[in-house]
Formats: sequence, C-alpha cells, structure tokens
Amino acid sequence: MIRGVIIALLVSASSTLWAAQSGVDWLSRMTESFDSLSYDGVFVHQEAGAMNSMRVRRGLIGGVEYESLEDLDGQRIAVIRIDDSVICVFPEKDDYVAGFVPAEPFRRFQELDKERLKQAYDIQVVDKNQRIASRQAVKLKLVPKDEYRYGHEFWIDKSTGFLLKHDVIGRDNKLLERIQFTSVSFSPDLKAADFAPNDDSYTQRFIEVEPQVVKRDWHFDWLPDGFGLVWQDARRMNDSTNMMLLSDGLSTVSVFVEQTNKKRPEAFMHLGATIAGEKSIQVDDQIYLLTLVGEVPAQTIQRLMAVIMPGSNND
Amino acid sequence: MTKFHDKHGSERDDSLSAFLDNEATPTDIEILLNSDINDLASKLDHYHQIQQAIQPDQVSLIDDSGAFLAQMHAKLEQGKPDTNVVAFPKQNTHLLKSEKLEQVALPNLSQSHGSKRSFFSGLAVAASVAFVVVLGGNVLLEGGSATTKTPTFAATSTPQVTPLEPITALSAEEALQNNERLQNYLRQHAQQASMTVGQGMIPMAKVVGYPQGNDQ
Repeated sequence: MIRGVIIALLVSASSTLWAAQSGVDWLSRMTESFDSLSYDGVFVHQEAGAMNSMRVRRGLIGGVEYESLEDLDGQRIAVIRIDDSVICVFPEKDDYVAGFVPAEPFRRFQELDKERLKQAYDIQVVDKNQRIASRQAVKLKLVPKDEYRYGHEFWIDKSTGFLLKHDVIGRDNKLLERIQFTSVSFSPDLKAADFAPNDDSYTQRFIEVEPQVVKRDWHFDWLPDGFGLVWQDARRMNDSTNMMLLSDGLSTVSVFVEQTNKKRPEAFMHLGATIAGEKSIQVDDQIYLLTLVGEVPAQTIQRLMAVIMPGSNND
Repeated sequence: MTKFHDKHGSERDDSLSAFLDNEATPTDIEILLNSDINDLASKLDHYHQIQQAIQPDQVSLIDDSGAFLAQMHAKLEQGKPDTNVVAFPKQNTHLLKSEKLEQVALPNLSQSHGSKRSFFSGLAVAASVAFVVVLGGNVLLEGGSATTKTPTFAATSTPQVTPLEPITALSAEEALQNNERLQNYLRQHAQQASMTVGQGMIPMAKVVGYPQGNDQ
C-alpha cells in the first residue's frame, strides 16, 4: 500500500516536473522573469551586419521599480524608467532626438499567448546543457509551421528563467538577428543613484500619455495562422496616421495607415530581420499610404499589403 | 544627397556616385564616358563587396558590373542619366522574378539629417547601407507566393477602392522624406513589439540602432 502511494507520488512529481520543463513553460518563465527579477547585465545586439553592446539593469529600490538601457559603444545614451516615468539621457542637448522615447512604459508586457504560439510554431526543448555568459542554459527552438514567420532559438537561464540569448533564424538557417548576454548578475547591488543621469548630460523626461484609441477602419482578408490583431481598435499617432498591431505571440507586424495626397510607389525595405513595405491605396477620393513593419519574411509583408481592405470586420 | 565616397575620392568615383544618385552633371557624364570601363567595373565590384560584407545574406545591389555598365553607358549615350538605377540581376534563387535589372533606390540615411547626430554613428552608417528600397513589389516574393491574393475590391461595396500602380522611381528628396517617416514608424514598431514579446527592455536595443532623423 505504502509502496503504491510512493510510486503514485513519484509519477505525479515526475509529470509535474516534465510539464514545468516544456518549451512553452520555459517561455512563460522567461516572460515573467523580466518583470520579477533584479538584474544587471551586458548584452550584444547584432543585426544587419552591425553589432552593439548595451547594458540593461532592473531593480526594485524602496518599493519603486527602476530600469535602464544604456549604450556602451557609441555615445552614452540611455533610457531610464523609474516607475511610470521615462527619462532619456543624451550626452548633449544637440544629441536629443525627438520621437525616440517609447509611447508607453516598458513594463506593460503582455502575457505570453501560449495558444497563438502553439498555432504558429513547433516549440522544442532541444538542449538542456548549454552555457551562455557563464550560466547554465536551456536551449529552445521555435520552428515556424509555415513560411510566414521566422524561426527563433532561445537560451534561457536554468535557475532564473532569464533570457540569455535569442537568435532569429531566416530561410536556409541564416542568422538574421542575435541578442546575447556576455555577463549578467541577478543579485546586483543597485541603488537609486545608479539610475541618476550625470549632471552634465541632457535629460528629457516623459510622462505617460495614454494613446488615443480610435475606430479601426481597415481589416485583413487573410492572416497567417496564429496571427491576430493585438488591439481591436486602432491607435492614433497623429492627425493623419493610425496604427494597428498584428502578432502571433512572438512576431509582430505594425500597420500604419496614413492619409496622404501623394501617391508613392510600392516598395520594400529591409534591415536584418525587419522588413518594411509600403503601398498606396485610393478609397474614393482619398489616398492612403499603408506601411507595414515587422520581423517577418518579406512575402508576409507583401501578402498582408495585398489583403488589407477598408472596413473593420477583423474580429 | 546620396553619395558613395571612397578613400581616394577621385573625380571618377564622385562622378560614378553622382550617376548612381541621379545627380550626374554633364561633366560627370563626360568623365564616366571617358573612363576606363575596367576601372569602373572594378569600382562597382568594390561597392558590391562592401555591400556583401555588411550584409552577406542580402540581395546584391551590383552583382553584374558588366551588365550594369552596359546599361549605364546606354543611358549616358542617350544623354539621360537615370535615377538611382543599379544592376539588380539574378541573385538569390528565392527571388520570384529574375529579370536582369530592377530599379533600386539607395537612400543614404546617415547623410540625410545633418543637424542631428545619430545615436550610434557606426550603426547608423551600417543601417544606411543596409536599407534597400526595392521598387515594384514582386521582387521579394518567393516562389511559393504566387498564390498571393489580389485584394477583392468588389467586397467593399460602398467605397470605390483603386490600387495605385507602382511608380518606377523615387526622387532623392522623396526617398529621404520617406525615410524620416519610416524611421519614426520603425521606432514605433520596436516600442510596441517590446511590449508583446516579453523580453523586457531588450527589444529596445533595436530602436537605438536605427538611423535617426528629424522627427515629424
């Protein structure tokens, strides 16, 4: 009897452990870790033949959340978030670039949409004994189920769930983009002063402004499996431009619809994994310029451009 | 405006750059016509190598300098220096259309906004080269995408919707205007993406790598 109970408990524990180690669960842990851990790390971002190293820090200090992203290679420009306030730090006032600051605080990450992800990717734990930035990592592979999105490989810290490395893989297994930590500490001795800009730098502070939600006047006659509208409505960017957002849980495509009085040629632009496409459409007497930007293959952008239509029945 | 510059900055190279940018003067044209075609081919190959070194997995801009030069000379002889036309011959096998020449505009983002410094100058330069505008939509399509839906305009009963035909070239000014707008869109996209993929601030690293310009 006792033996039976022990075996049952072992089976139960083992299945729980297995479930906890599934690819989707590792991704969930990864998402949660960015919002829950304190960290101080340096990572390298590589895209389109260019490479840049950056430092990212996050900590809860006196009940206030601090977060920063700092360039280490070029000019020492940083973005600092203290709770809901975002501060951009530039070496000099002339370096200030309007429009850089995020429209919303970074922390409002959406929860991982597991069902969308499963629709779009085969998610596999392919190696549990990797080593990145001197830490033990689990390697996940997200293999796209169709040609409308890229593949992804994640290396996730075994003990914390933190993302240590992320590769975006294109056709023929080509590396399109990489983010890789070279060092990271999860017990950083962070103080509020660490997030204070230098006295001689130029800072610009931004308070969150809720984006204006407007009626969505466009829909898609087709979407790749797993893709859906992140917002049912559109977001107004300015008097003439609205934005929509598509996602499959990992890849995103932004759709900008701008009223214009000038036709533009259909065109595509690429930067590493990021593809942008634009096309003019005339509805009655009004010309609209559609611009789609996303980390998806060019053919996805092109096909979406072909099926975007006036009307809002993409629910 | 857009210029290719090399270390030597020779007259011939400047003229070639001007031609590629649709800014060739009659003097440039004369210089090019009088230049040794092998030297020009070598220079184009050099541009090609630079582009390939920066983006080895991207389509070549100048993959067949001979074809390009033949086209260039034909246009010069006609006295009509064309727009930013460079050779876009058969390249990656996954391109659907393999016509010999497509038109490619090469906006130089790093030089388009002189009053504002880029966040990361090295990256901005790289990005300025990495951006490739391909006019005429189908060249990026892959073989399997021939099934791409044509918009069913009839489905929109009330409004009259008319797809606009692709225009064959962008002026340099248009290209630059386009890029400022596009830069803004790229930033907006990266910011929104950072909120959907659950990687903290890290996706923002893309934003700071984008070339920066005057904001709209």
